[in-house]
Amino acid sequence: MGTRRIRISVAVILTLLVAAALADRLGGYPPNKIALGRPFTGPTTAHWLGLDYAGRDVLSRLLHGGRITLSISIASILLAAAAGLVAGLVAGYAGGVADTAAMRTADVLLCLPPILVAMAMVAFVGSSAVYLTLIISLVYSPRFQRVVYASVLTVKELNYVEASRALGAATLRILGRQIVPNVMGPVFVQVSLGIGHAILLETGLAFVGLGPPPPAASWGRMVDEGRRHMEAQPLLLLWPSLLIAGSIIAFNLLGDGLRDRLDPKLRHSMGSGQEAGS
Amino acid sequence: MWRWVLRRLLWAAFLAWGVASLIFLVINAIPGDPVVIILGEAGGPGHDDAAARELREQLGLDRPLPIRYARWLGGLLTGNLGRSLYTNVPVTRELAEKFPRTLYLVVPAVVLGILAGVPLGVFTATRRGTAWDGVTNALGLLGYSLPVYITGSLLAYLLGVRWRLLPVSGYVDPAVDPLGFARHGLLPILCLAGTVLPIAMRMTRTTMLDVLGEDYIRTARAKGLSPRNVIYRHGLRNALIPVIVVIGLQLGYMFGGTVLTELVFSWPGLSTYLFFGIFKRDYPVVQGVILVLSLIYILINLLIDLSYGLLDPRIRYS
Repeated sequence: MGTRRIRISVAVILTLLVAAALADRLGGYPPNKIALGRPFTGPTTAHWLGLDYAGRDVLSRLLHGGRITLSISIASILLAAAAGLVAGLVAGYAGGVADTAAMRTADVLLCLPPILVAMAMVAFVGSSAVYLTLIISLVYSPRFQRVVYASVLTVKELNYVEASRALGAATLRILGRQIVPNVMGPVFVQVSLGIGHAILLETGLAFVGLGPPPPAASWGRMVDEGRRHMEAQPLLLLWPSLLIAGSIIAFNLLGDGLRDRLDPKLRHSMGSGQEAGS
Repeated sequence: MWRWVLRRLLWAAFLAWGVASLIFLVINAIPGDPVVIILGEAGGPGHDDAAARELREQLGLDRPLPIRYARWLGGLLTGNLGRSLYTNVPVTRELAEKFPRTLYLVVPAVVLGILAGVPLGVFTATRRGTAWDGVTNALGLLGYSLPVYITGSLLAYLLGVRWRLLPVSGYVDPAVDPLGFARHGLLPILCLAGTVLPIAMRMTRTTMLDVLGEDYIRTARAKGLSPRNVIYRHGLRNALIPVIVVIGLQLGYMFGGTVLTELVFSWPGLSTYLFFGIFKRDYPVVQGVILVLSLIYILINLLIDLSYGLLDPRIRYS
């Protein structure tokens, strides 16, 4: 049942994106305005999810935080995918020195612990949204490069690619018309799973104080704040946790669904068991 | 055979050299002067030019980059990672103290994750298409997607704050107080085990389904073995190798991935050490810990490669 998983996850992701885009209208309060009421007030009709330790509207902050987290995560993975695609194509198709240089560099990069490297770089260069995006994409691009490389090696030996080479097609034409369309499947799967990872990484960085600087709302920092005040109001821990978990689950589900859809061979060995029954 | 082993060893050595060089380059490219970190800004109190010059010489920072690079590699070969800019304690000594603490989290977490995940994977594989399969799959997705700092914070709230069953932070040396160690370690270990479990479960399920479709399973069934015997003696035994490989690879990542767990529970292990090193811009600490974690990753991968190749001759000749 790849289709049902894809539909559900796409619906959740679209809802999140629309909510983040309309954060100003939907929240009803400026996200950083303090003392809207007594701190730690629980859900009321005026403040659906209550107020935080500074008396700020939690719903508005979650919506604005989602805007930051989702845009950083999506932008960084698209960037990583683009960089990995180019490097993987060059390495896989050209072979020789380019292959060795690109793939050995990726191998070295993949030995480094991703979270810790991201932490160190963010701490040293700064935690603005642009830096966060660049650093997360840097951590993930070797992964895309490997995926693309592996697919290119298979695809370039296929008969129809050899046929067009024999017919004298230009390299760029072969890459654009035959190789790229055929390696995009695994890339889409990785983009979806990668965005899930990027959300995990971005909120994790914010959780330890390496996110967008305050007072900007941020899901990761809201979990940290909720943890500090969990005796006063445990719901403050619950709301951002639900959103982070929900969005990561949605992107993972989409990735799983896409993998089953795009690679029918895997459907029988890897797919979820639901498909056998229904 | 020996040529293949030698090739793997050389490859690991190349990766180690690559990682060490990359870390050196990046740390040196980052703006920030250790002398300023130790003595404060030029012109500020505590900063005097003669002392700064002397310190620069002492740290070897007056030498050109290639000489510093050679010294860094030379230091690595003799097990010298430099000294902390703040405490002046050798980084290797701090590492020797902090590393076991991270090990105390990672090893029990992996063992627990396997002990729970493998049977669950067999369970779902043998009930393919039933409601049970769906339930465990959903739980797997949940476990796979939940960040440790969220499960950690929620567990700390429920078990620590709400029910007051366990301490929510801190570390006790197991040699001093084993029970106290267990009480403090239980929550972080459970959190980390929660990240291993879904991976073990998914991988077991996948390989079990493959193996259960093999001819020798049909033969085992046909000759009248009990389903239990077929599944465990013939099925699981053959499905386990890929599971162990995947868990092993995961183990390599985990040493570098415990940072959020350690921070949530104030566990003073390797990652916490690195984390505070990062904030204080203690460059020798940062490069030392990242290097050691990368080397652990390379070493674990090498061991997995070698053992896998020894078990399965097909790998060696491909």
